[in-house]
Amino acid sequence: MAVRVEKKLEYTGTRSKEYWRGVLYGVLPLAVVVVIFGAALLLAALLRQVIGIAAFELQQSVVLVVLGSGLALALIAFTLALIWTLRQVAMWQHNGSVECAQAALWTLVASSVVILLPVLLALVLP
Amino acid sequence: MSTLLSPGKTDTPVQEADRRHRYLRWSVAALLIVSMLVTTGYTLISGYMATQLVQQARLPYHTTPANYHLSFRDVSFTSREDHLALSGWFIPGIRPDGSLTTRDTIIMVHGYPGNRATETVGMLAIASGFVHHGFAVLTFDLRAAGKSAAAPESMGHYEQRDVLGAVDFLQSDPLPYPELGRPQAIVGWGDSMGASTLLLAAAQEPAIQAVVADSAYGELLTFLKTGLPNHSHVSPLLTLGLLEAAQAIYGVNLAAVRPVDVVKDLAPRPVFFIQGDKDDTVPPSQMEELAQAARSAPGAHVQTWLVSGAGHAGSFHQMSEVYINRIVAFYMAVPGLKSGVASSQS
Repeated sequence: MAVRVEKKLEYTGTRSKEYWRGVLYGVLPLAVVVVIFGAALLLAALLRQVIGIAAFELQQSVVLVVLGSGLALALIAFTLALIWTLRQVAMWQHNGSVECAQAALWTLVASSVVILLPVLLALVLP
Repeated sequence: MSTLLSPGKTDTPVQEADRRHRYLRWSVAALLIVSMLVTTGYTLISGYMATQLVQQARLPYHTTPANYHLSFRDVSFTSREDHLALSGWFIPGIRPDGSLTTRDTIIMVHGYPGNRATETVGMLAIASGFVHHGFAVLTFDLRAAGKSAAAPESMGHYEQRDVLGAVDFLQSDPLPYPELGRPQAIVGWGDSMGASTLLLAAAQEPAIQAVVADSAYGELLTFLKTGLPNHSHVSPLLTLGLLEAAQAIYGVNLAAVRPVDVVKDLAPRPVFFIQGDKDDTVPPSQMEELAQAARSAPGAHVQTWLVSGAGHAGSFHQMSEVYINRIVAFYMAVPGLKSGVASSQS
């Protein structure tokens, strides 16, 4: 009896670990976008302060380059991370790690909602 | 595919599961890619709109006070706090006997887009009206307009520093016409964005003794949601993105431009709100909201004038001399102002 409970706990623990592993892989594409674009926004704000309004034209050019590069980098990183995650999911599906694969896919679906959030808010907010 | 090539054969459960899994992965990938494309498109359009709003092309002048046979001098001064170089014209008032005076000076603040001589509003014609009633006029280019320094146009958020710089200039900088002395009373007139900017500045600068606000918005968001779509065919859906993009690119917080929150601080100084009832840029309800907020302060002196048939900042063109006379009558009632009294008595 005790052995069966122990095995069941071990099984639940493994499932939970697999689930979180899947979530971690699933959240990766969104995370890279947030980190890279967030860093670009911070850098742009910093440079705006450093350059100052007296050199507005330079300030604007620098900020636009930083933000544009940040967005482009974020998009490239997002695509690469998405491909990598989907390959991982394919491997899990092939190996029968259903928990991992499902968790990753559901996290990706949730990520798409988060990515769409600015547009959804613009639709919903008065 | 395999079914087509070898009819009669069906997929094994493993193949079926593989196909289902692949379909699932591609569906999720498509969902993510579409989401990312939509949001990226929204971000780019918002960024473009923000640059268009914050960086308008400078409008040229076609007229100067000389076209109205007025004596004037070029002046330059700096904004308060960020010390941006601003340019303008100082036009002394004309007394009934023809002599010049700078005793009571009106700071005129233009709208968006515009400059010290915006023709659509009739800035110089209005200035000429004031000058012939004995008021000196300081009309100048806000930042990013006319000949003033390049800067983001923040629809009043930073421009209030320019108005405060104009007050500092009149109070302590070397003035043209030194023989006429320094102004003893300063009042303000503004149209549209200029009016809202003037309200924001006057709320923190007691030296501005009275304000005439023609077509002012009480909160910029209302203009962005109603006026901007009317004039530029921009969907109101872009307002949120535009606000965020203006903050990210220029550090301009457009949502914070809310004269309605500070207009009560003008009391007991008099305020005169003017608006056309056909205004499709700033809804006339904005005037009522501003007036209500201004009246909420003890000792408030608030007048309103809803001009029948006038569009946005079009009251002067609609009412002509009546417009000038009503504003002059309003200024004349301000304690400490003598120009109008002297003019009317003589």
